[in-house]
Amino acid sequence: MNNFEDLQNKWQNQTTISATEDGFQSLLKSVKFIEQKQRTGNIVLTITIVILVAFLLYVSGYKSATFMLGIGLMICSLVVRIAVELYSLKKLRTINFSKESNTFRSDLTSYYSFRKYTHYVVTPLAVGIYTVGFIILLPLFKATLSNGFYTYIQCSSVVFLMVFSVFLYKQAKSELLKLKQLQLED
Amino acid sequence: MGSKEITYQQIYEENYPKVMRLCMGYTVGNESLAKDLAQETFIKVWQNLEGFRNESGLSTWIYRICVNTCLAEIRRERKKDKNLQIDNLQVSDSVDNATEKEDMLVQLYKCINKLSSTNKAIILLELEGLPQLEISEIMGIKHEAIRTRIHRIKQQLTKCVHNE
Repeated sequence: MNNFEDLQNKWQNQTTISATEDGFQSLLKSVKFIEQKQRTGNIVLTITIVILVAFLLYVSGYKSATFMLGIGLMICSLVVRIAVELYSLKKLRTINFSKESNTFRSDLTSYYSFRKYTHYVVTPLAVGIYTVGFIILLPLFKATLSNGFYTYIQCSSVVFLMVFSVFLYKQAKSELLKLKQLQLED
Repeated sequence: MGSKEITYQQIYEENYPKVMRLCMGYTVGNESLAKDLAQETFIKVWQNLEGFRNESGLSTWIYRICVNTCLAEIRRERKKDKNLQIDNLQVSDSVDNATEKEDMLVQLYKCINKLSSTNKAIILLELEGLPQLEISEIMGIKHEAIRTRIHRIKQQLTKCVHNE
């Protein structure tokens, strides 16, 4: 009884939600919001770069080699990690969703393979270098800051590192799972 | 509204039901998830509208975006698939026939969910009644291969709906 044509008939006769004016207005609102968010993101990024450059110019006046090494390692690792993240975002945005599904799938697989490299190599290296930079600065903090503030910096840095690591781990886990599923598919 | 918005609204109104049906198939009848996917599809339609070059039909182009959006997004939700939300499925028919048809539709959703994501896309497009040539253009698989594959999935699906 249930041949495919029968199933097809049931499928096409099911009641689906039709387009409404409210639905369209809400969609248009989302579209405009995304465009606005992208513009805001660019402004925030520009401000961050300006602040970072200003900070580098400010600290370049210090003569301490240890300070310059520590702060240099911390800033460099951050810059590299942010640059890789921005490059990834650009790569993801250039994936064309209107391509044939097969091509789209291989583009997506190639994107997540690149992210795998980021998660396994770039991120641990960046976190490691950032930590080394911070450790180099600790004796200077101890010499110049009050005991209480020094302890606060030590504790908060450990908490920050733990929270940040959990965040990175979750992101890596989710993306690696996506890659695995893409590669598992027929 | 500008001319882009007017064209967009027209595209939205004409294509929303079929996009929604396809997304419902991907989300095993989960209406709220399907709405999110349909919204995501139309956001991508807006973002790519200026790049549409009429190389394929508008409908084929939208189906491609929809299938790819579902392929990319569904992976995030896979764990939630276990909680099938197919209680609210309805068919437009007389009261007598409706229950039987709704049961069959629920079964059909369950069987579609057992397929791989590529096969799922292929059979959903076939269920929509698209010509196989258009399905092959959407999927990027040769016409001959699509024909064989559809034949196999049809048998698999019909058997599954029968047996369970």
